[in-house]
Amino acid sequence: MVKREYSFEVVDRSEGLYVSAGKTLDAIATETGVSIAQVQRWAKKYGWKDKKEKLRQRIMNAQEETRALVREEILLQDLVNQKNLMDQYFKGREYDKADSNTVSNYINIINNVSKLLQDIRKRDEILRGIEKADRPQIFLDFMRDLVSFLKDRDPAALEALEKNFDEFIIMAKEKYA
Amino acid sequence: MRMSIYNNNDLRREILKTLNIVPFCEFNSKAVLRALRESGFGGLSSGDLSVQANYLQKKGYIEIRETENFISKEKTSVFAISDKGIDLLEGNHPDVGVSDG
Repeated sequence: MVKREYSFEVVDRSEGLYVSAGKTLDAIATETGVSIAQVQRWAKKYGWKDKKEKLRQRIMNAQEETRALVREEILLQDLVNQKNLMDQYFKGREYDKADSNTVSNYINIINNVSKLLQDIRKRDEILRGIEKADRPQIFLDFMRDLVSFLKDRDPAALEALEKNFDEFIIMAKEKYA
Repeated sequence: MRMSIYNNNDLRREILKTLNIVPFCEFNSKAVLRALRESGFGGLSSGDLSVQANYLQKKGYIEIRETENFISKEKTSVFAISDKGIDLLEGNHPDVGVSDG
């Protein structure tokens, strides 16, 4: 029996359908015209289940961080509103003659505004970290597309890339990592 | 009777998590409502929030205080998480009435 060869695009598209689009292996087989047994082999060989779970986790983390950021910003606005109101109350009054509870509340609000600003900055850094964590995957996806493209259109160029691959990776790391 | 579109236990937990952004700090109930609406609880009504906030207050997880705007004299409620509420979020004493997240 002749072993059938599949192009990289078909494997890659099938992986995308499973990992990102959430399709079942059966549905992928129907959509791509590849046998279910072959799709199952790819899923096992390339760790699709693990990739899908990692993607799900990354999306959930990013959603959770975004939700927290939205809440922090709204609550920060509330504190700033409270502070502005108190500024109006203090206008024309001397602080040492003002009601001590009000002064204490005022100081608390200012401290809380400062704390929230720090938290928002931290959250922002975490979100940027999540985005950064995706970059190696994007690079990998790009490289796979490039290899697939050259394989069909310009095998000599692919050979040249293979020859200089280590050097290319060092250059790419320096520039984009 | 109008049915709530949210699971009450989840909503109670989210109220606590929102207030725990700055522990013990008092936040205007309108700001809490907006924060929840814009982060996953789109159709939440002030009535639903009030019912669940009162539940949390009865259990000692949050404190509710009626206050008055310095300038407009408008009355409003402010919420703050309590020590017990923080303990609950930290998983120190689970409660079947609040999701364990």
